[in-house]
Amino acid sequence: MLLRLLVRSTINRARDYAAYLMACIMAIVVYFCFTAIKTDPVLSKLKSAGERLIFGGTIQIASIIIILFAAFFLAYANLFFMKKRRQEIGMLSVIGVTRLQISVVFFAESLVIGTIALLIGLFFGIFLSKLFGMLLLRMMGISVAIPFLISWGAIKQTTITFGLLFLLTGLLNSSLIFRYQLVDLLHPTEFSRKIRRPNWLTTIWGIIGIVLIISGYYLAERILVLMPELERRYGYGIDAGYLGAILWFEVIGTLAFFQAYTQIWLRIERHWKRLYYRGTHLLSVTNLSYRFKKNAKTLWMITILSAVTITALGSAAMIYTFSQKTLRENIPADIIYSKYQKKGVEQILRAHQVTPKKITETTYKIVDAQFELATPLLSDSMTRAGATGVLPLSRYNALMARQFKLPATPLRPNEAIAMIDLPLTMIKMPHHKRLAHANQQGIPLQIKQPELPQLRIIHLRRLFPNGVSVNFYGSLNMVAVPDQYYDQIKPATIDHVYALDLTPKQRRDKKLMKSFFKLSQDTKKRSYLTAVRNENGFKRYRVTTKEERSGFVRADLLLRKPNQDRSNANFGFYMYIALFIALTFMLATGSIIMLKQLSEAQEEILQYKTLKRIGMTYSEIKRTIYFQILIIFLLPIILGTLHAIFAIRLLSLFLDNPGLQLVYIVCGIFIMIYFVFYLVTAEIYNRIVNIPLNDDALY
Amino acid sequence: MTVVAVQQVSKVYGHRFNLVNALNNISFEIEEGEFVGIMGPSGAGKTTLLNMIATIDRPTHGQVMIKNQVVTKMREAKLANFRRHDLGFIFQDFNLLDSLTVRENILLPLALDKMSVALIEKRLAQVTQVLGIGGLLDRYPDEISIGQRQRVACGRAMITNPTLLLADEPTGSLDSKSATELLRYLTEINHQEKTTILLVTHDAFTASYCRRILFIKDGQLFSEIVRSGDRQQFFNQIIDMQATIGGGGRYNAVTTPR
Repeated sequence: MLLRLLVRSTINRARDYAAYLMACIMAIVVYFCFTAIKTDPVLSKLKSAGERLIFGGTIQIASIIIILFAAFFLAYANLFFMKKRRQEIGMLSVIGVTRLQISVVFFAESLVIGTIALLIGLFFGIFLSKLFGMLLLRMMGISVAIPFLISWGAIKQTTITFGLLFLLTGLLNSSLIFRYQLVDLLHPTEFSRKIRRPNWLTTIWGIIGIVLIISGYYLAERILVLMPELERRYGYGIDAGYLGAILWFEVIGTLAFFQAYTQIWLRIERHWKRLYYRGTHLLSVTNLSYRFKKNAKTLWMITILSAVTITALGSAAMIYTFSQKTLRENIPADIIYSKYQKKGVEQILRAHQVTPKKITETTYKIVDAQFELATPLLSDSMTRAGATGVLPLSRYNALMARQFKLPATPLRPNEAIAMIDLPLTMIKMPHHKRLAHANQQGIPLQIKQPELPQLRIIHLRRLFPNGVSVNFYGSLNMVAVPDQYYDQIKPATIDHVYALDLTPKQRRDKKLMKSFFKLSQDTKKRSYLTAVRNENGFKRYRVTTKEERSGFVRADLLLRKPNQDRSNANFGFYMYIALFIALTFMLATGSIIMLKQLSEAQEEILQYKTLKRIGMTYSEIKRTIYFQILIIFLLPIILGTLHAIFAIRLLSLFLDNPGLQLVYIVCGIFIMIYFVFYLVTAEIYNRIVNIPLNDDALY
Repeated sequence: MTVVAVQQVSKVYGHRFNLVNALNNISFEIEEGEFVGIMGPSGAGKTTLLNMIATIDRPTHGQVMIKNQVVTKMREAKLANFRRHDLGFIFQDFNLLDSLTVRENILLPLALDKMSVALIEKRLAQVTQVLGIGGLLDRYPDEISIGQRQRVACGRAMITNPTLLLADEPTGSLDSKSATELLRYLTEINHQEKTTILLVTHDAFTASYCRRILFIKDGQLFSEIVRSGDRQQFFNQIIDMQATIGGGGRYNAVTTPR
């Protein structure tokens, strides 16, 4: 009899069950797909450019995050589901079913639902994981066919994890049933809907919130100015404190924003009668006031989570842009090699009977020179002295045009260009006094050769012709000087660097690339730059292949393709992880706001019914509902995006401002998905609340 | 001038095998400035009739005309507008919005109409003065007594200067003192503002404040009495009529055999 009763009530509440089941299945599918990737035999044996890709650490952390989230999401959906069934429990109690019986039934039921969800989830998961696996490989730029494999390991792991989770929720539900009071079960406790005038505490808290948020942003924006100053005063230990302060300011500020600031703001709105007494505005404001009060903590959590998600996605995108840029700057041609590798490269070319598209030879004169840089990071200027590679302007311009598609730079006879491998943010700051000064007059450059006149550096560049790696990773100072001046330099040492460009067809030639790769992997293919004291006091420099301990080192052969492949694979992988986590967060946060709003919808049916009776039209009610829900969805997203933008800007300072377009695109997609959540919620809400007046049914 | 004309209205509820004739061919008219009560035992169709007039429900047959407009054939959007301008509602459980203050609750219909702030405040002052709730304006509904709540609901109903004020068991949730007070206010409104009031009740005391009472039984008009003398006398008339409807009165149509 009890069983039949329960079956009946299950059928009656099919919609709630379906929603709960969907939530469970979603969590299982996401978890399964992730685990399947982790245990996939193809992916774990994947090699890129001859090296095994090691994902271990990242994937572990990501899987912990995902399981925590799945657990949290499941618990939330379960609580929500239980809340909706309180009356059912009350009804069963009233007809004389004991608490123990009810709790046993609920426990069994949660296990049944768990089993069903697990079966369906695994079924979809098996298909989707193949899809996700292909997506991952596509993102990593690797073309390997993944066979359709059922990953038993992943199935086992998912079953165990979720089996435990469902067991726990079952126990939780049973314990909840014992704790319910019968009166509460039949008459749900009412939450007072009136809005207290904000007292002085709320006012102060709200103001603190705004101040904290804004000062956090200020600290983030001015980090390059403020942090060095603090470092000088308190030592480097202050850095962690500084970044921590920004984080806590935002976290606490956001909480205060939702708890208090929204109340103050809406209270002010209430005083503005011209606007407030206009149509449905009055209703929207008071309802929002109530909603913010009730949901402050949820909205806060969602803001923080979406900020984290957007930051994760954005920084993955930014790191990609950054790594692409770095790669292009480090190895601007297919192969860069020094004079010591000339023979080896030529041999390979001959062996494969390949004529490359172009080989460019660059000759550097390495001399002793000195110049000073003003940098906003250091109070004193920075002296760059010692070995300096000099190259003529005509060659410099030709190389820049070929490798970086940059226009030629004209120089007057006494001017020069210096190249430095430092983030631009460290050298240049907008509106910095010292820099303006330097721009006008140039930085004096002294090449230490008696008869040579002093030069003035008028341009500082970050791009090295032939890339920074072959120039001893930027340890060797580089300058470009006018051609006549270059001819006057008595070379201490001459260094030759070759840039080789291949045709696309040659690039795809696997055998050729393999031989080059073999050559580049040889660790002995390095050269060293060392100083030798000259007879007349000037330093002299030497480039040798003999291993030296004191001195700069470089690889003599640099290949672009394998590096690019590896960077693509790495990026694809990180982006995949970031997307996965973002997806989990988004599904969880989106559904949490949605569920909360929809559960409130039930309580508001009467309110909207009254409003209809006093003459509000269907479309007016719809409009005010859409507006209220938009604000509820929008505020966390706007604030979260703002937080994320400042966090990404902060990161980008350290990554030397890689382009942020990709970041904006990724964030845009994120916001779009949220918008879909909003539309669905608003529509369902409207359907629940905006029922025709003469409809007798309550739902 | 006739404000409400109910013409041969019938309403049938339910499924094919379980039809309920809530209203059966009812017709009557209400003139401007009248204070009319509708009485009858439970299930007689009082509230159904009120809902028809309130444009919340539509009749199966017949039509309802308010101010010479056939409201039973109006479109929903037009109806909402009509309700806002021409009808005022008072419910048994007040149906005030808990998140709004008393002031906001009362002026809500005018705000929905996008009237100017000056006009809204002028009307608000008038209404609160008549109802004597000037001191409660900044409180919330759960901070005032139930009698006051019903007066606020009354204020919300009459702030638009409606053609017709509809009250569904307005005293149903009130104690006798608050009920008397509310009824005095309603009488006042009827006198001062010349508002037509239609009130549904099953309580004889409440009904005795009306000028005319329509009795309904089993979805049909049973009889009608008009107040001519003082309230006490009218009250006795009502009690008698109720007894008659219940089947035990002095003017029984059918005598039950012993």
